[in-house]
Amino acid sequence: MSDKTSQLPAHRAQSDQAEAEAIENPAQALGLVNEQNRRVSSMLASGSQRICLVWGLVWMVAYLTLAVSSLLNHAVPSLWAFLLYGLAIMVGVVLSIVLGVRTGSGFRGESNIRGTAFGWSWILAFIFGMSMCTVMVTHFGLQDWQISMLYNSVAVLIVGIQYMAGSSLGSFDLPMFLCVVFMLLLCVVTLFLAGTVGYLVMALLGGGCFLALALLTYRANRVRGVRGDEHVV
Amino acid sequence: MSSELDPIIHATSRLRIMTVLSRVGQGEEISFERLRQLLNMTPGNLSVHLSKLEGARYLKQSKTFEGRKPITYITLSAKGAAAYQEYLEQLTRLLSGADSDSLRS
Repeated sequence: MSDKTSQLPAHRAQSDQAEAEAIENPAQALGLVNEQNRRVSSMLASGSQRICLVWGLVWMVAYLTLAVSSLLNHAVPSLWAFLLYGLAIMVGVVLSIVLGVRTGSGFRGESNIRGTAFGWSWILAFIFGMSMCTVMVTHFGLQDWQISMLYNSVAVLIVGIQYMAGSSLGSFDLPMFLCVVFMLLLCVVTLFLAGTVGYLVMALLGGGCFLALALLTYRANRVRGVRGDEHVV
Repeated sequence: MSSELDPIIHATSRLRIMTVLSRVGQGEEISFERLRQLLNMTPGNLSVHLSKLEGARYLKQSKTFEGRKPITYITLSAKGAAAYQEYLEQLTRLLSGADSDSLRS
């Protein structure tokens, strides 16, 4: 529009622009508000949706690798499987950091600080959580079948607690709360599942939970309108 | 009916700007470029409307540098937040009134 209006007399260009800006009735105004809120919701949520998608796929690949390897190797994954698992986790960490930085880009304020702190809390929780498991394995001389149950259960517990913290950063998030409940239940269940079964459950139910959260968040934000009860996180 | 609505906000682009700033939250800042992408507006068009809103003291613009790159951040003022809230309430009242009128007729 700006190219055409620049060739018109100034008063005509201004008149055209004023006409384009005019809102005909309150219903149209409400429609504009709803549509813009939807766009903002979609933008704000897209980062966390993509991070959930990444971790859903990473968990599926990583734990399926361990499951297949343990199936072929007398219930204990081989070294190459653990290396692939570690690589998948590193890919997940790097992508999460990139997505988190991109989501927060262009914003400044307390929400940015909260988002950065939340991102770091994930990294630190896993570093200390997994280190604690390693110490327990050494200190108590755990056997292979016990080790997998411990690591799986603590990993799921960390995810559940982190999502619980995340759900309190903004307004109440039902999909995230359901994920918390599911992960905490899974944490207990994995204590009874050793070896291949444990890895399969982590891949399909743990990874599946991340993917379900990404889908539920996407659908919830499609309908958010005037309520607009989410702020930048 | 629409004459009751704040004329500063009651224009397509400015209403959309105020909606985004309200969602971002008072006290939080959004960069000019990020706002422009969200609104899908040209830089010139956005500048014009931001100036009008800033003239009414509904928002504040602050210019800074990130590295060597100049960046403008925009934030909703307390006056702007109150004005937008009032605008939404008036809109709701007008629409409720319109619904009642149509039911009576």
